[in-house]
Amino acid sequence: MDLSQYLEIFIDETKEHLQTLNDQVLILEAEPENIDTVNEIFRAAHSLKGMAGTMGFKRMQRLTHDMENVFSEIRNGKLNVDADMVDIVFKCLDAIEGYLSNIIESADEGTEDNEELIGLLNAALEGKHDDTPAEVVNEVKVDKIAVGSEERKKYLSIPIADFEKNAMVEAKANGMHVYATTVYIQESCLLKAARAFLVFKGLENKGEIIKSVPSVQDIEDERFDFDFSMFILSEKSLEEVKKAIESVSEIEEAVIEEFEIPTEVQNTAPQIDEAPKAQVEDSTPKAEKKEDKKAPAKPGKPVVNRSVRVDIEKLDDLMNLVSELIIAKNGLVSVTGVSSNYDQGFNEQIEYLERITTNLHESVMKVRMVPIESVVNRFPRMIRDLSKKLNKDMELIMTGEDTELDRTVIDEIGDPLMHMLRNAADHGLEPTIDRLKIGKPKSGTIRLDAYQDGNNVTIEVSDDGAGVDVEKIKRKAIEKGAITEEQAEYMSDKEAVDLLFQPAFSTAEKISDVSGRGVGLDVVKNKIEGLGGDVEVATKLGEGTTFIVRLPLTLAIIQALMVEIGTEKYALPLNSVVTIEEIVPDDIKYVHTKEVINLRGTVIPIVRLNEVLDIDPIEKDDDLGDEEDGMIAVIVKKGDRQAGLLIDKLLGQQEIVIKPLGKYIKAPKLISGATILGNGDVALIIDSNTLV
Amino acid sequence: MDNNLSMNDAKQYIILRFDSEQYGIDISYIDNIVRLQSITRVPHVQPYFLGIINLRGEILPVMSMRKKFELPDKENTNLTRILIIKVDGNSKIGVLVDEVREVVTLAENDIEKLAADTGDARAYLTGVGKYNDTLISLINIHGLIADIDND
Repeated sequence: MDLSQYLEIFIDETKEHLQTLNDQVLILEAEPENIDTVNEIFRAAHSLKGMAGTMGFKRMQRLTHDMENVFSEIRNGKLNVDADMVDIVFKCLDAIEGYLSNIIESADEGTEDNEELIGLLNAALEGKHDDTPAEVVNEVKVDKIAVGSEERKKYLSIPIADFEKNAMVEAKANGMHVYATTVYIQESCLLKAARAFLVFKGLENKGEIIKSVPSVQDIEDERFDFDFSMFILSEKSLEEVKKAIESVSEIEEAVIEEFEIPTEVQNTAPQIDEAPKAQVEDSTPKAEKKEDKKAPAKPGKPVVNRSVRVDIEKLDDLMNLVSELIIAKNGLVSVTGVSSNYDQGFNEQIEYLERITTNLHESVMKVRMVPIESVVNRFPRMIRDLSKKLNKDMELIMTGEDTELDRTVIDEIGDPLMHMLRNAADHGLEPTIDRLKIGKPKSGTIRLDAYQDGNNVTIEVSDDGAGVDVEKIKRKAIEKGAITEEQAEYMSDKEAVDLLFQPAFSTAEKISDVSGRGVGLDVVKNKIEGLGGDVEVATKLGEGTTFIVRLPLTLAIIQALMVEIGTEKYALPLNSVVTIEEIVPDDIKYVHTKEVINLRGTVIPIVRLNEVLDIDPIEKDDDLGDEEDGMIAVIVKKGDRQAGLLIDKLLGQQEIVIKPLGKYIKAPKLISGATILGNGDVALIIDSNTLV
Repeated sequence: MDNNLSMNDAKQYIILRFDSEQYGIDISYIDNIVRLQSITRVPHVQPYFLGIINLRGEILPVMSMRKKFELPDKENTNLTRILIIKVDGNSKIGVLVDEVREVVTLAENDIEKLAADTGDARAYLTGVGKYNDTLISLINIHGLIADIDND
C-alpha cells in the first residue's frame, strides 16, 4: 500500500502528540496523582502507537507500545510515578523524536532499536509488583480499576428521557432487546465521522437506534471525541449487533450490553448489582467530574476541525501573486499620477482597487501567521532538562505564546531563542548555592515574554541571574585583541555589552556542553538580522539580563516612505519612521565631531544618506540664497534611539513588495532588499536600523 | 563526418565581441538575452557589479563583463545586451556585454583546452575554440560564478 500520501499527516500529527506528551509528562512530574494527565498521556501514547503501526514503522511502534503499557499501568493505579520513571519517559520521547526526524529526512525510521529504553520500560513494569505492599495503595487501586472499567461504559451516565424509557419498556414487552453501547474509534482514525456513519449504516438493518450521544448531527459534523454511545432496540442477538459495529474498520472496541432500563428516571448513574455500593458512589462523582472538565473544551472543537492544512508553498505562491497584484496596482497608480486626464470616476476605482489589494494582502498575511506557541512549547521541557544537567533550580515563565508571526519567521526563530534560553540558564543564572548566599530565591526565574508592538513583535528573554559584568567583558575583549585598552576606557556600558555579539566571544570561564563555546550570540544576532529584526541586551549587574528581540510582523510586503537622494530613489520602511522634519544647515551642531540636531530638546545624530550611499550631491546653484538650503530629515527610531536621515526629496508613502537582491551580489547590511516601482524601475530598501 | 558523432561531441556557443576579441559562452547556461534597460546602482558591492534590474518582476544583479575582465570601459551602444545566465537551478545573474554576434557549433576537436591557473583572466577560460580562422576564448561559467561567490 502506498502510504506516502499520508506521511505528511503522520509527521504533523506525531509532532503534535509528542508535544502533548512532553507537556503532560511535565505536568505529571509536578502532580504525580493527576489522573486527567495520565489519561491524556495514555491517549497520546496510544495514538502514536496506532499511527506508527499503520505506517509500518515497527521500531517506533514497539517503543510506543511499551510506553503505552507503562502508562496503562499507571492509569490503573498499579504503578506509581516517580522521578526515575519521568526520566525514562522523557528519554523515550527523545527516542521517538529521533525516529521522527529520520522519517522526515528519509521516510524511514532508521535502525536504532532502543533496546535499552525498552528494557528500562519493561523493568519499570516488572518493578510494580514489588513495591505495592501498602494496603492504602491497594484500596486506591481497586477504586481506580472500577472507575476504569465503568468509564468505558459511557452510556451509563447518559440521562434517559421518559419517552425514551417508555419506548424501551414497550420494545422489551414485544420481545426485543435493548442494547446500550459505547463505540470507541481508534484515535489514529482520520475520518471518524465517516466511520461513525458506517456504524449507523451497519446497524440500520439490525435494529433501531433510539438515541445517540452526541447527536447524529454532531457526529456527522465530527463534533465528538473518539467515542459515542447509542441505545439500540433490536431483535438480533448481542453478538450479532456487536459484530455489526466492530466490522467497520478503525473501530477499536464496542462496549455493549443488554441495557437495564432504570427504574428511576432521575438516576443518571444506574446501579450495578455486582459492584459494592460504596464503590459506585465513589466512582460516579468522578465520572461526572471528568465530564465537567471536558465540557468547556467541546464548543471550541468544531472551530479546530474546520481548519485546513495547507502546504506552505501554496501560501508562498498565493503571496507572490498578491505581490504581483500590488506591483500592477502601483503601476496603475503611477500612470494616473503622471497625467491628469483621467476623470474622477477612474481615480475612485483606482482607490477602490488599492483598498482591496491592501485588504487582500492583510488577509493572506494573516493566513500565514502562526502563534509562536508552536516554537516555544518545547522550551519548558528543555529548561527542565537543563535544570537537571546544570544542577540549578530554575523555572521558565512564558507569556504571550499566542503572539503571531509569519510562518517563515517562526521557522527560523526557534534556534536563536533556544540559544538565548540556554545562555540564560547556563551563564545568566548563578549556581543555586551562590543564589542562596546573596539572598535570592533558591530557584532562578527565566522569562520568555512575547508581545506585539506596532508592526513588530517583541520577544524578551530575561533571567534574574547575575547580570553581565561590563568590566569582565572589557578585560576579555582586550585579552582577545578585539579592542584596545584605550577604547575600553571610553566605551559606554552599552557598547561593551554589545561586544557579546562579536564572533568567538564568550565570557564563560569554563566551557560546558550547554553553552559557552563562543559560538552563539553572534549567530543569534546574524539570524535575527537576517529576518529583518534586531536584538538588544539590557542588563543590571546582580539583578539579571534581558535579551530583547524585535521582529517584523511580515516579511514580504510593507508600507514604505519613498524618498529621493540625488537622482536615486530609495524606500524607508515606514514602521521605523517617527517624524519628518524640515531643517536648515544652521540647525546642525557638532558634538564629538559628529553632526547632531536638537529636536525639541532631544539631541539626535544626523546621517547624511548621500554620503553613506555614495551618491553625488545635487549641484546647487550658489547664487540662490540660504533659504534654498532647506533640508529634510527623516527621523527614524530603533528601540529608544533615534537618528535623522538627511534626504533630498519626499516622494510619499507606498506599499512595497520586498524582493531579495539576487544571490551573487554582496550588498551591505544597510540595503535590506529592493522593490519594483510602478514604472518598472527598481528602488533599494534602506534598513534604517543599521544607521541608528 | 558522421552526423551523430558531431551532435554528441559538439556544443553550441554564443559568441560575444569585446573590441577585437571574441568570447564564447556555452549556450546551455544562457537563460535569456535582453536589451539594455535601466540598472539601479547598489552602493558598496563588488566593483564589477553595475546594480540590479527588474526582469519581469524578478530582481537580478547585473555585472559588467568588461569590469570583471579588467578591460577598458566603453560607452553602451545600441548593440549592448544583458545576458541572463542561469547556474545551479534558480539563481540567475545578468552579464552586460558589448555585443552578441551569433551562435556557433564547435566540435570537441575544434577546441584547444587550456590548463587551469595560468593567471589573470585566463582562469575564467576553459579553452580556445577555432571557428572560420578566428579564435574564440571560451568562458568557464562555473569558475566565474564561483569566483564571484567568493569575493
